Amino acid sequence: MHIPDGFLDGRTMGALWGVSGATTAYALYRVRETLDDAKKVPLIGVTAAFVFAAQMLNFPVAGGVSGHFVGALLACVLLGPWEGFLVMEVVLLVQCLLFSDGGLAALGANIFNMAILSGLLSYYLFALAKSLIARRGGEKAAILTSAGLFAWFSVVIASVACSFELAISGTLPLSTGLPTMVGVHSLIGIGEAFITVAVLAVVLQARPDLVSAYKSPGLSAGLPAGEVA
Amino acid sequence: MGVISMADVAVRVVGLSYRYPDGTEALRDVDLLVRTGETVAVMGPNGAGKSTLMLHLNGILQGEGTVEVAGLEVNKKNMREVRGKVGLVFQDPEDQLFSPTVGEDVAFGPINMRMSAAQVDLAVKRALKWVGLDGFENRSPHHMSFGEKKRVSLATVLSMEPEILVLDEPVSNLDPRGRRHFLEIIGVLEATKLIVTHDLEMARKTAGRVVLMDDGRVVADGTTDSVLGDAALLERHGLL
Amino acid sequence: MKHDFIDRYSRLQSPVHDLDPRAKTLALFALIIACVLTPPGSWYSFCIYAGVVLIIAVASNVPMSYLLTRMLVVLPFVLAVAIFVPFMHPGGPTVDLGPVSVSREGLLVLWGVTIKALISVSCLILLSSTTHFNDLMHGLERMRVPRFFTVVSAFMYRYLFIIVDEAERMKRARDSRNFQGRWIWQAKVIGHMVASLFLRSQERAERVYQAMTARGFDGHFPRTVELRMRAADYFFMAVVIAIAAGGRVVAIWA
Repeated sequence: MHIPDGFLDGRTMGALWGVSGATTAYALYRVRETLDDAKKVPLIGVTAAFVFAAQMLNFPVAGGVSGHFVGALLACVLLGPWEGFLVMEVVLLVQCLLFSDGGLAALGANIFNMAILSGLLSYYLFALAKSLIARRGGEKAAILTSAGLFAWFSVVIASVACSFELAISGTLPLSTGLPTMVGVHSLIGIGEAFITVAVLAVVLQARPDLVSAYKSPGLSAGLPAGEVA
Repeated sequence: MGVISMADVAVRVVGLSYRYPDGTEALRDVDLLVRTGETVAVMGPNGAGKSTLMLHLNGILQGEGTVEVAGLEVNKKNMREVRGKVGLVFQDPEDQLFSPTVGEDVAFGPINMRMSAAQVDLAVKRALKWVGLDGFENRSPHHMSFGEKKRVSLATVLSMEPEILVLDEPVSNLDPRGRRHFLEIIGVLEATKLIVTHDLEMARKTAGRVVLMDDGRVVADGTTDSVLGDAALLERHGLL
Repeated sequence: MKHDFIDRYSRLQSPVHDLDPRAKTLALFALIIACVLTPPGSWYSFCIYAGVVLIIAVASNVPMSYLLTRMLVVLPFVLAVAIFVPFMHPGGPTVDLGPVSVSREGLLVLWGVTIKALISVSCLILLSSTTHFNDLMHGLERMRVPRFFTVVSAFMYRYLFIIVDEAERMKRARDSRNFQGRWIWQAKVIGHMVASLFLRSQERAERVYQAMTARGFDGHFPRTVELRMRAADYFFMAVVIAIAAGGRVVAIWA
């Protein structure tokens, strides 16, 4: 789903650079103190590396098409929405500069699809659903159910956006692009939901202090992260 | 102990207590005085608080009480200087080595100390020579034997020329030859040494003094012979 | 484990490797922008862009076979467009290609995305194959890219090796226990493996971070050598940007 350069027209790329740029500026303002938090830095680094590595592994979907893990919702649930969003940006930037995965001119569009829609938007919908479900049951179960649902959604919404962008640019008509993209990504989304839930279930069990979306009193830290100057 | 001047004190810990975020009390009112040039073995069973105490010596953890190293109080203001004076060698070299090449890893500390490029080069060369790995700058630590990794770990700290060297279980998992070699290397270093271990033989060979810890407290402090000669004491604290 | 799977060839020696990372980044970025904004029919412009890329590639000493292999990354997208070409722009002029006839318009779109994608991706491959990761980050830092990005990238880069390491250990342990079974069972096992991979990497990352802090790391990655733009860097940047702009202008006139 990383759109390479050459597939979008100037108008589309420019507009999405604008949206992504403005969101980034606001996100940077929101996380201005995060890097001083000795407990958060390793977690942010590992999440970024984990998402990065997972995105490199393709799994076969059907008929020779393959998909990969996106990880945006997982990053937001673990780190908080703005940190998660920025981590996705770092992943996309490094993939673009180092692996030529996704174009540089198209980076604004890829950020919009996979960091804003799959990340921020999906996270806030997740948070809403989580609080609704949590009224009836435990918070952990609510997180897992909601995360599974919106992990699937996060992949599908990005593919919808991707097909609209290609259609507006005149590269791939909507009538053929949309059904194909969405069809394939509804399948990929199942894998996404599966991995997201699996990781969250284990982390919630072993180190609930690492899950930003899970807040309950008396958390225990497994390792001495302590105060570091 | 008699009167000693402040210039002779390498480490001074007074009334140090530390509680982990989950509530576990790791250190309870610990006092420790180490003189410059001494080699002290810090011993005790697992969970005694040895490693927690060591992490306080260069401010990775900060508890209640006073910690002074080489005449400097360990606080946020002095942090960079403190970390230049106290070198911490972690037990698992995998945790210490994270750069693509040995040279970059050994240079990491000096660069953080804001040394110039020429000084960094010199420091790296010297540190690798001390541990007998000269010319290994461009090797990847991941392709080395465990013993070599252990020596590179030591070099990453020696390159900062610390006055106080803290070694956490320095010879665990080393084969007899690697062990002998490692002990020879640290034997000739002039720094004040604190060696965390529960290996009695290693303490006898290297240290003149033993500090015994259990359950977050210092339970014995004396010459190696007197502490390690007290079988009842060792048995009570899980070392025999 | 190999540590060079990311910026392979970035330690070669060549005039291109010697350039300041900022000069390379800006010049190649300009080339990409000019290229993606050029209409598909401007053959001369694409020849100009491709020519510049080729000259840089030859001067960089990076093996051609490596460049070509890495370029395959855009293939899936090109194929996706290729599949749909027959259905595009029905009713317009067509071209006969053996058994099928496709619209001229559709073919032009396919040509456009293919050539633009190939040129742009070569620029990015050249950038990463001639610039060491740390220098690239340093360059970005000096170009006022916010610290959050450069610090997180640097950590990501370091921790990536930890994850690959842990994954290899886990795979060995799994294979040694003769892992097989029905796919639903396998999926469950893989889910658990991925999750514990994350957790183990995180716990090691925390210890690595402590070891870094112990050696004076304070959230900044200082450099021993400050980057300096020399005359050659300005020259390279000016020439490439001028050619990129020239290529774009040719497209308007032609």
